[in-house]
Amino acid sequence: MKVLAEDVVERARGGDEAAFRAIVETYSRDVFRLAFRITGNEEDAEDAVQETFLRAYQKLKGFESRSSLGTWLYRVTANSAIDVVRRNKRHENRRAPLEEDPPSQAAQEGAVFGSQLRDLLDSSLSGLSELERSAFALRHFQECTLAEVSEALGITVSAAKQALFRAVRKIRKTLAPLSRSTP
Amino acid sequence: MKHPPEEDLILYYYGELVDESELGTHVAGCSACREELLSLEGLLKRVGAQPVPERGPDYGREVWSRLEAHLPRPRRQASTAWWLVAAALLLAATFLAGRLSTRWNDASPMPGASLRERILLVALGDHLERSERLLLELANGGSAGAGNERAMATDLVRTTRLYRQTARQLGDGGAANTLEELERVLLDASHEPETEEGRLSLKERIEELDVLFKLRVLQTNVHHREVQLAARRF
Repeated sequence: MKVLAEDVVERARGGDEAAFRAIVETYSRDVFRLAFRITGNEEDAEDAVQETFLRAYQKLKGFESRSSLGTWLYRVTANSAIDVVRRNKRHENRRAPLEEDPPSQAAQEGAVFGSQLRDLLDSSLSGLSELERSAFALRHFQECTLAEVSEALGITVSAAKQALFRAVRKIRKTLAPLSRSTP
Repeated sequence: MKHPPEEDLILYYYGELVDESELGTHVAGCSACREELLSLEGLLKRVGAQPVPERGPDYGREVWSRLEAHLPRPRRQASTAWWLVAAALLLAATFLAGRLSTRWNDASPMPGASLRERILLVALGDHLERSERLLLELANGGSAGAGNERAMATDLVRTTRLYRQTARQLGDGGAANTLEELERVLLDASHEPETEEGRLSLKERIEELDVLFKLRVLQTNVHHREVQLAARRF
């Protein structure tokens, strides 16, 4: 994640709208990436981006640790994305719970080099709980350390580890046939 | 060493295992664990390879433009003078937004309105001229102190925003777009770091948006309107 000059963050905390704009323009793409990984679709991710910065604007005065603005924003993003997912029923409709509706063996085998592969991978992620998905997205896609994941999600490092373990296990379970059918 | 649990393999993959050497040694000598680790790596790499829809370099600005109108702004405790100035500017913009487009209306307004409009046109013309001077200075890497330029840019941003918002509300898209680009560049100028690299970056943006040219077109429209009103007096 990019780093802004300290004085910009300070001015934004003091209510300087132009400085807050600099924060928005600097972090929008990172926020979108994380939001997309958590929500799983562009429309929800865009909603989450909007909500993230609205919340950040309201709460920035309470932000004290300048050095971890990025991590703080990740936390706001994860919460916003989770809320958007909860609110939007369209997301629920796309969900295919792992235990109840696993992809067929034939679909898995046929998906190896096709567009279905992406669907299968998406499906494996949508089978995760919100916490698992957020922890996995932060650790796997955003390459945060587990300490940063715990800080961003407001949980202990141990809880972050457990969420990551559960996420990986579920993903492995869904995608295991792929590893047997491909090199 | 016993076969490591799956949790350790996951931590190893992410480089989060406290003692990696022990597990590494075990995996090197244990084909079952090596296969298990390779399987885990293969799957996680597949997941990681899934692309995120790309967002362009202007995405941050797009987000801001969507966000700006929704920000809950605290009540200002500005002086009465500020509101008087703002009111005057809004009045000016109200007059101008409908008149800066190509559809010039020659119908005479009520008595006294022409004089008032002329005064307001002069105010807008002065604002555009000040903005142009600052942008020229920035584009040419002028010698004025960076602090002065920033202060001037910050000052001009507020006024530009008022004109821009009013022009947009009144449907003069051309004037509003030019004022929006001017506002963006001025905002950039008010935040640009005091480095050579920052100055070059700002200069590039001014040239890229062609904002000086657009500003001059707007100034010309304002000037023509001033001339029209002056001619009516005779």
